Amino acid sequence: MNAIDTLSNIANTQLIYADNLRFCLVGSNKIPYTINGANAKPNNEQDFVSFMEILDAKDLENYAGVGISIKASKVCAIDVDHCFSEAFSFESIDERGKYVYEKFKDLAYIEFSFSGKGMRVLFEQCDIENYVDKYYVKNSVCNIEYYQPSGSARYVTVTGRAIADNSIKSSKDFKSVIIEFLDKYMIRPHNSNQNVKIEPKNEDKDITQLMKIVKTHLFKSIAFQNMWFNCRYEYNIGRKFEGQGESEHDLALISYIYQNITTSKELIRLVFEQSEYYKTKDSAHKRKWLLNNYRYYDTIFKRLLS
Amino acid sequence: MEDFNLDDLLGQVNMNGVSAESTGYQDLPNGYYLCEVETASLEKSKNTGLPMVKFGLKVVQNGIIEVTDEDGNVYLQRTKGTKNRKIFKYYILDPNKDFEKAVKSVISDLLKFEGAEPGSELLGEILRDDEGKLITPSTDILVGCLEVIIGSTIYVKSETSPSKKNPNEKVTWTNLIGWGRADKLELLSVPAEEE
Repeated sequence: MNAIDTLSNIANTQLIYADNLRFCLVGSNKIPYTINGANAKPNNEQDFVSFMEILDAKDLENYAGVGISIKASKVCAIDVDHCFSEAFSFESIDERGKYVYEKFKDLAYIEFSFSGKGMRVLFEQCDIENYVDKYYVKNSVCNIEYYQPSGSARYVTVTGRAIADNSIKSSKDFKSVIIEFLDKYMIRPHNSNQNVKIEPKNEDKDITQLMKIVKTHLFKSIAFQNMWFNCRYEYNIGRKFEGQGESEHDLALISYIYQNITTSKELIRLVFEQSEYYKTKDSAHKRKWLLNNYRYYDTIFKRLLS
Repeated sequence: MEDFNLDDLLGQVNMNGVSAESTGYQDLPNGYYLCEVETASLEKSKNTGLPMVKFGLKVVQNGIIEVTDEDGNVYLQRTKGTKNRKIFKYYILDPNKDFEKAVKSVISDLLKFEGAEPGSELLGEILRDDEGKLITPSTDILVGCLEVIIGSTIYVKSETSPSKKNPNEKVTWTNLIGWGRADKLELLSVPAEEE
């Protein structure tokens, strides 16, 4: 299957009538490309074009498929990874897929993913306000992702292999349905320590002194051990972040350091980077940590204080 | 039989802390204990009739506790008098309450037992498929795993603290610690002591 096949599939679905969709080409390595063959940047709306324009792209047969920009298209998307045990077999759907399908089958466009083992839902609805405060964008435990235009400089692949071929433009406001789905699969755990006032602590100590304190806490606390060491095994039974993804693990460990070791923002970061957990992050997560002068860490620290 | 004066002996007994609830045993000091698995079984709880996994552990070395000296320096040292003490750990498999979590807890702890090669899982070949993914164990597999670990050694963290529900009562938490983590906590570098 290549981009020509995909565009042909799309032409036979309701997606063809969604003139707001903005497309890019996608290589076999899942990298997005503009119609001129340059790398498409998901945060640059100009790199994504209409359906008619993408049909004019050169060498379509050399691309594996097409994608759409969530932001430029102003659509919401739900990705349910690996919910079909057999590719393109609806009967092999699992409980997650069944739940999402039943919720949206009359309201949104639903299709098989590129591999045929996942499901994608596309629709136009209003953004959920303050989304990231309450919900995950990606729940790594149940492998479901939710994107909305305001939060997401992302693109998703589309295949045109429709399961529920509805228009993405619904006349109904089905925000309540979306919230039910989000509350079931995407809600962040409540941080019960958020309202506890933390007095300044050990802000005058150096990293060597703080690591001695860390050592004592490691000796005493199994929960802290689970956070500190490389606890990415299948069953993570630690409190607060049982079974949660990387960002929740980051927040839990940073939160512990803030409440128990030091309240200095810079020192917290330095202590965190001494953890075995940090040292064994893969390159993508390390890059995320270091990007733009620790912007991701700034976001976590703000959440800690809010 | 040796002659002794019972009144003299009784007069030396310290009765502090004795009550109707006393068991005669002191709680283990909070710390880490190298234990041998004496028994490991899947059985029915006598109280509730629910299935449970039970470990019977024997402390084979005096435990390791953290002490702070006059200058505030913290270091690890051995306790005395804790060798040969028994520790029991139970995993209640209640079908109506957190069953999956309890099973995962059992499996997670079984994975902590190390094989002949440092860092290898003693039960890896039983509990993982060809791709290294954990399987969902049957009763037979679970019982088999429990038989395999008998005689193995593992570190255990024992912690006794007041119960949140009733501060006059105590609760003891027992956590198994894998060898890799024991090494990272520097437990392996605490010298063994002869009693």
